[in-house]
Amino acid sequence: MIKLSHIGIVVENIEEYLKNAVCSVVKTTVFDSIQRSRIALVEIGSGQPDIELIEPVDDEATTFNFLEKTGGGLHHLCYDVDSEEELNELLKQRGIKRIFGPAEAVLFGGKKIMFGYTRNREIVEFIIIDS
Amino acid sequence: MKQKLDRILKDILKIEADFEKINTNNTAKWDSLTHLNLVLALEEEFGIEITPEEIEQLHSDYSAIIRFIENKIKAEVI
Repeated sequence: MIKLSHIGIVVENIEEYLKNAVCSVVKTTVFDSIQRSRIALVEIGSGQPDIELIEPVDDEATTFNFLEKTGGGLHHLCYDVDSEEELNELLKQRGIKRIFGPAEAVLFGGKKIMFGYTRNREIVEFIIIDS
Repeated sequence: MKQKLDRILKDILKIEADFEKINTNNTAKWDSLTHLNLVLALEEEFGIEITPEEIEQLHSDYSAIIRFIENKIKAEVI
């Protein structure tokens, strides 16, 4: 079953962003060496999706160009999927292009994630729950 | 076909250029997300499907894209 996990927002600096954010309770902060970004997971409330703040650390970060072009902001929606089979079926059905992954994500305890690009020209992320 | 490809590249890259001379190395705006926008536009314009492996092949230049589309259309007709 598909469930909304979090909303990804690219920021220049996590701490500066949190000063003016509606929700600022940080559950965890990690450095993701694959994305070359600091990443913070911000809690909205029990049973609700989280907000993921992504701070690129250098020009090799996967979101560096996005930050350069846009100044930051809404970057992606992330969904939980049960398995890689379910994900592959979804990609096929919806014509979603694979950008990156599946790869282990430190933020989600080593579970595999994948980034894709939809025909609506939106970036989406998937967390494979059984990985 | 060249006219269609020129229009697509102009729409996506948002530049005026001699498109036959541009490639991913000499065009800063042609980043990875722009490339995916190009792939989706080619699929929609020419009614073809581009696999993840083929997306990489399109990273070279204009003539490679033209050759790729021609071959793809031929293969899908046969």
